[in-house]
Amino acid sequence: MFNKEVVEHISKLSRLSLKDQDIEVYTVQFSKILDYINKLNEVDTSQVTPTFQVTGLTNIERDDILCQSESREAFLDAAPQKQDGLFKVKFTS
Amino acid sequence: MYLPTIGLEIHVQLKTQTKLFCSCKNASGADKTPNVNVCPVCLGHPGTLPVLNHSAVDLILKLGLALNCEIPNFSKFDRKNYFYPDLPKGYQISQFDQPIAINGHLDLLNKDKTTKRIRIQRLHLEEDAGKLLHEEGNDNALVDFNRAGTPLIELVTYPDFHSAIDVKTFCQELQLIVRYLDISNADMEKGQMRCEVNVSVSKTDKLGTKVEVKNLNSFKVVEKAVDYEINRQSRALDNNEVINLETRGWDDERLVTYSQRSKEESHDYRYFPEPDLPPLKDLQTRSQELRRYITELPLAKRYRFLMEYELSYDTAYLLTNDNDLSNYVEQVISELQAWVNSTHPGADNENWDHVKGKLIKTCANWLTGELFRLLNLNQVFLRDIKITPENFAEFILLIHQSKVDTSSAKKLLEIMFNSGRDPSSILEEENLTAIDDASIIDKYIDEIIVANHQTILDYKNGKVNAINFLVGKVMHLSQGRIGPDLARKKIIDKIEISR
Ligand SMILES: [Zn+2]
Repeated sequence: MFNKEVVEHISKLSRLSLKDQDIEVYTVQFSKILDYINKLNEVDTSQVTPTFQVTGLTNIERDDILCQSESREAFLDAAPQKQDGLFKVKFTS
Repeated sequence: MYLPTIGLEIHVQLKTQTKLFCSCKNASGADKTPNVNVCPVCLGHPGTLPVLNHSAVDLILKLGLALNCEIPNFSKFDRKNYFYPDLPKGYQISQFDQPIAINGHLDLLNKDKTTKRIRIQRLHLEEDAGKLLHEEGNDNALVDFNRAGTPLIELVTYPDFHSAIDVKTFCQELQLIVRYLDISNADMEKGQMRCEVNVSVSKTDKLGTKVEVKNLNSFKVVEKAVDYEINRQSRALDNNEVINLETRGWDDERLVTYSQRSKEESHDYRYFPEPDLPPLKDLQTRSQELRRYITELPLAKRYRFLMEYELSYDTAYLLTNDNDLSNYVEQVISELQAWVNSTHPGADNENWDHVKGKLIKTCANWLTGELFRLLNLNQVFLRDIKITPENFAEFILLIHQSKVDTSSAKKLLEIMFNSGRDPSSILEEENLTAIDDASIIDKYIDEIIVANHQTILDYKNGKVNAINFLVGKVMHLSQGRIGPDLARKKIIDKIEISR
């Protein structure tokens, strides 16, 4: 079920260009990883409610009050490239 | 004939102080310097934690109530995953399967006072992306994250539209509602409200392939794009062509839609619950507490203006298209009513009912005519106007009682507009009061007749238009205090008597 097409699709979604030989390697590797993870499916979860939160918290909200952050230069400097106060990135469509 | 079927997806930018998940300023596009309103959260730095803005939840609940939605008690956020340079985290925090409001509707008022119902599927909260500056052919792009993380409501309708004009009307009505509720400025040109339309056409009950059209930045463009798509798809089907399931953009130069490559080919967004944001509970109770903030909505107000004020559909529509305006109108009318009741103490509004039709019509005419002209000419917003509703009502009464004629009234309104003074004192000081003393009027008329002997002869010899010259002279001499109709009548009377 984990074939070449799926790897190609995932690489496209991740904006990663893979060489043909890489695709073949990853197809095998992905399959093995998934098989391993799939062991979880052997556990009987019929009595367990699905969860996506572990804190038990609800309705955590903050007031709509402005709090300005540090200077923009610090953020721009943290990026690999900047230009005219803007973040410069590689364009991927 | 093909029947078009249209559904809408509308994004509305919320008017909160801060962004949806961090305390950065939500400047709604008014921030000209890039990357001034950013922080580690909205830049997607690792290890940061989003915290939900309380006001944003209140605003979507209000809109949900206004659009007659059900508010489920429980709601949560989800991650929508895709890679694009304007999306710093690699995912957008949105809501997938448990939105805040569902199953609502908005009724549109038809000219015949019936309504047309458009069902609303859902409303959810999500964060906006940054702005990407990219030149065609350039490998690099520049990003401004001021907008990243600002709050949006996404509204999805059912495919209940069958014409472009209804789509446009719905968008305008929605804009008005969010403005009435102070949820958003919803200016389409500024991207504060963005519409996407899904259009399909079919000859049968089975819906045709739907085409999504994006980048529609005005009501006019929404209408044009929908009409264009209906025609394009109908013609294609007539030629036995296949309609592609695709996203199209609008070309405002050539007035056509064009095929766009989709951002995410298969829309494979791999949604999953956002682990960093605890879910929302007890939203029903919370929305009930917000209900009292839902003021009278445009539809109800329009209906009231039609029925109670006896205005025409177009005038009622015009006067309720802006909350400031409709409030002003109501204040003026209530002043008029107070005056009528105090001077004609009859049984229970009897006299008000008798004169209100005429008074309100005069009021609406002067508002939408001369007052609108002055506002436009001077680039003044109604909320900043110097004329109080009380003074405007007094002005209408002066006209109603013929204490001032039309041309002087225009002058009077302009002085009121510029100075904010009350009309009665202006009338006295500026000598604008219509002359109602018959002997004084006669004096002016006689003076003009004596001084324009030749013109009188011309008139008597059949040159009927000559009278206009004399009317002008009378008005000039009286500084507009004798109106044109009265002047004309008096002059003709005098000439006929002397024949
Ligand atoms: Zn921020």
